[in-house]
Amino acid sequence: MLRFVLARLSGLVIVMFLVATIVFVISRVIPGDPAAVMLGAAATGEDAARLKAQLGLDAPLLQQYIRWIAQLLQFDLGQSIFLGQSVNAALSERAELTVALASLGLAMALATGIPVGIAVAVWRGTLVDRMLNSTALLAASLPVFWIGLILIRYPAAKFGWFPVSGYGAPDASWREKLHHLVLPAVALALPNSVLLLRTTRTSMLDVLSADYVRTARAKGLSPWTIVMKHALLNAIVPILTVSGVAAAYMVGSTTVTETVFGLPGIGNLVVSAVLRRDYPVIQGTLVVISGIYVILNFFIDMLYLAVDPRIRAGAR
Amino acid sequence: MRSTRSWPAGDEMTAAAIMEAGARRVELNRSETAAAPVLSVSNLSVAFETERGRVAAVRDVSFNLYAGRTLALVGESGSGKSVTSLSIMRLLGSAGVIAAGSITLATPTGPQDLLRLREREMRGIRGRSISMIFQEPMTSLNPVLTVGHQIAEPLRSHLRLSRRQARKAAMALLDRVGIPGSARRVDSYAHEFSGGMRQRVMIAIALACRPLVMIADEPTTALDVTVQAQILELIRELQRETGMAVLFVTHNVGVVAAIADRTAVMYAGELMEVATTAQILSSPAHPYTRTLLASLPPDIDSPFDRERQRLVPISGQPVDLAALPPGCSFSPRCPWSLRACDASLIPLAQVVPGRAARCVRIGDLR
Amino acid sequence: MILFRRFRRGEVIFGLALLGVLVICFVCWPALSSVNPYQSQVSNRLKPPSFIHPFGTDDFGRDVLVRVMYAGRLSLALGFMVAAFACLAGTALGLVAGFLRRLDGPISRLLDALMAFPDILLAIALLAAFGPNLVNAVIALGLVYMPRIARVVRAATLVQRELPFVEAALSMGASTGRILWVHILPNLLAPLFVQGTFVLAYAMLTEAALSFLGAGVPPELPTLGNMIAAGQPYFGRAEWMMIFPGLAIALTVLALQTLGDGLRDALDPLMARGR
Repeated sequence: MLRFVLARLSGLVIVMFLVATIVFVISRVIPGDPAAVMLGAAATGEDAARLKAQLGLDAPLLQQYIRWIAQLLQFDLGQSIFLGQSVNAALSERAELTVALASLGLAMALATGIPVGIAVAVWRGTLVDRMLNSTALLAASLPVFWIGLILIRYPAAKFGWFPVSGYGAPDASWREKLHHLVLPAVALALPNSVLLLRTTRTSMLDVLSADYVRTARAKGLSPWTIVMKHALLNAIVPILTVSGVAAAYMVGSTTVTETVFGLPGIGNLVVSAVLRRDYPVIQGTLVVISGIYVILNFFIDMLYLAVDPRIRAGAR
Repeated sequence: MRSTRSWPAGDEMTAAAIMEAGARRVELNRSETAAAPVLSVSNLSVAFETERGRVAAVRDVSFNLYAGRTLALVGESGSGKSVTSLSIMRLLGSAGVIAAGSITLATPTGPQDLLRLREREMRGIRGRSISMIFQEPMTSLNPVLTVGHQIAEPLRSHLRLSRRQARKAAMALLDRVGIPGSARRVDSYAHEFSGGMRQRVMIAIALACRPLVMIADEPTTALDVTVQAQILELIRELQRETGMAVLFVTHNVGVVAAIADRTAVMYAGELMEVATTAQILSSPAHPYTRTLLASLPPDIDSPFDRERQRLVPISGQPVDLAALPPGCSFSPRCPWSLRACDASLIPLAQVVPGRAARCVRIGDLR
Repeated sequence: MILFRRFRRGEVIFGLALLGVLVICFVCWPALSSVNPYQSQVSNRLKPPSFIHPFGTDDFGRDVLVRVMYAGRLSLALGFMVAAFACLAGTALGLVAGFLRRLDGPISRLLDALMAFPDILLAIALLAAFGPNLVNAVIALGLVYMPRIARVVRAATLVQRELPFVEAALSMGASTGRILWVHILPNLLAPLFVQGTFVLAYAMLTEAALSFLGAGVPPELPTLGNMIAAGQPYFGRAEWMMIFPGLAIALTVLALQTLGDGLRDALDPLMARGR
């Protein structure tokens, strides 16, 4: 089994390396000269050249690339061109918000999607099932930012139940911060909870028609036991996979949600960085975000091992 | 439904204790008259809702199961034998409807009509008073739970054994069904066993609570011939020890010969003939039984016709349950059918005491 | 083809019907309507929905209903082109990865790396790199969704490759190209089509998000995303500017997803069961 884990781990490293390379290529292909942007229209060619040299942007691409990889290996994401701080610092300032938001969204999605998915599978074909299915599909088709805007307009602006935007004062209590995050988290959670619902439903339906469930019924076990123990444990693998996908999607969606709700998080950071051509920030955040996704997937693979003994056996 | 059976509570669950409990029961069964059936199916009719309307899968079927005796339910696919067995357990699923009849179980607290019980009460019967083993051992065990856990489940839920007691009982059961190394195997998973071993585990599960009746729905069909013989032998031994009644559903006449005391032949959802196995095999009364036996490949060990050289199949197509003929269902394919056979439904008539057939031409077949 | 036998399934019908209605609206309305979606009529600004203007008017006095139809046409066309691009590129990569064992490792890793980026971020970055115009948007989004298709195609190819008829073809001297084109590809069409439908839906959603962020297609082009973005400053006063384009997107995506689901269920036994 150790070999299995090591194989997965080495795959992870290779993918991260590719990610870093892709990030570098993309950010260097982006046209535009950050030096010129920084200095403004009045800058002379000389000033621009000097600034470029200072930022290390005049070196040949290959050299810049090697420097980038070397920096990465030391977990140094470089220096932001516009923010006057290191990328690491910029990220850690905003990390709390984004992580809190993504976690809250994920928790909401899991807490609604999976139980409803189980219920719908067990009560398949009934009116409840059909109604839920249609509403769920519609909810999943709504663009996340649109949901956000509606949420701002009605629960927040019109009824005043939630703050319209922002994260509260820097010294606000965690309760206040949470209050600010509820609506954005709902917007994030909605499409994902539907995805989880449908995956759970499909997976459970598959399992509920299996022979071993018939055996469990023939033993006279209670329906709760049959669904929760016999069925769910077998259905969990695809659910785990989709949870991972949802978590990853969450990270991307925070970009848009943060913009809509005016939250100073990592997503917001990336968008402004792209617009300003702040290469180090672009590279740094993309690497971090993708890295989180890759590592998350790795942990989910490990979770499979824990849950399904057949995978454990195959891994030996 | 609290059991009045005494179970050594608090003591270690040893194989000996289980044996003793079983022996006591066999005594009980033998001392009663063999005439009192353990399970009595009366006029059972089951239908399914399909796109083509309501289709009758089982029509007016009646038979009895006796302690320590095995009844074989024989028929082709579509004859209704599996549906009958599932109906006894009320495991039909949403498509099937039990249209009529009663199924009476002789429990220690008195007779119960299983079809009138609430689902909750039925759950107390399943796995405890009546258990069932199925055809596909490869997929009938839950892959993510240990074998020991699955054997212990009915013990814990029906008999309220503690985890430790149930585990010991599970090991004893594994021993009893012939799985070596039970101390280790109790923590193994289904995929670590072969097909035959898995079926033994299924039998262990079915046996755990000392059921009055065991229903075996083609348990050996998916197994190799040698393993088949072992499983059949195991079931016979266990029946001798525990005195349980066995309903054995199969389409394999060889299996019937090996294990059944009495045989009931089904066709198109109806009982065509019921008799002792010896009678059925040596002198079948119903045309369907006759043609069925005649269609088997000649086998050195078979007790009938050894001189045939050619295979003699039953002519015609299997019956379409949605479009049944007005009279005898077998008539279209029957070599002996008369006009009278198609006129109206034929009742199940007694041939001699203990033997019945659904045919107007009993006795004058050649 | 065998596909048509299963088309009586309710989901496929609903999805197809809804999609049909929407497509007809998006395509025919602009052609038939005499109302000019680009001409501003300042006197008519920000009127709420009424009989003459069922969706209201926008900040330039233009009829929102007609604009939604025009924008719908463009957004749908864009999504369609993205899906086509992703399918072409993805199929090529997927076939190669599935069929040629030696290239499978590196290609799979590349796909994994590409899929590690959240859709929107990758799209933003790529579009910024290429320059924000319509064609580049198609390419950028196509690249974002290409790995999904490639994965599905690869999985299906892996399964197909092991089937006896491939061995038979090889033993008769068929070249690799011929095997891929004649034998394997037709069997991939089913899952490809299903996944392509989903990609269309995702592409529309992502394009809308991009436009909303101001990082998508140029704002003058009438896409549904741009309309929502344009409506944002007026959110308190004229919500209809944002609500209707949003609903248009949602309905289209709903139709596509239902269609995709229905197709997938209908084609299930025929589909190669990849991961």
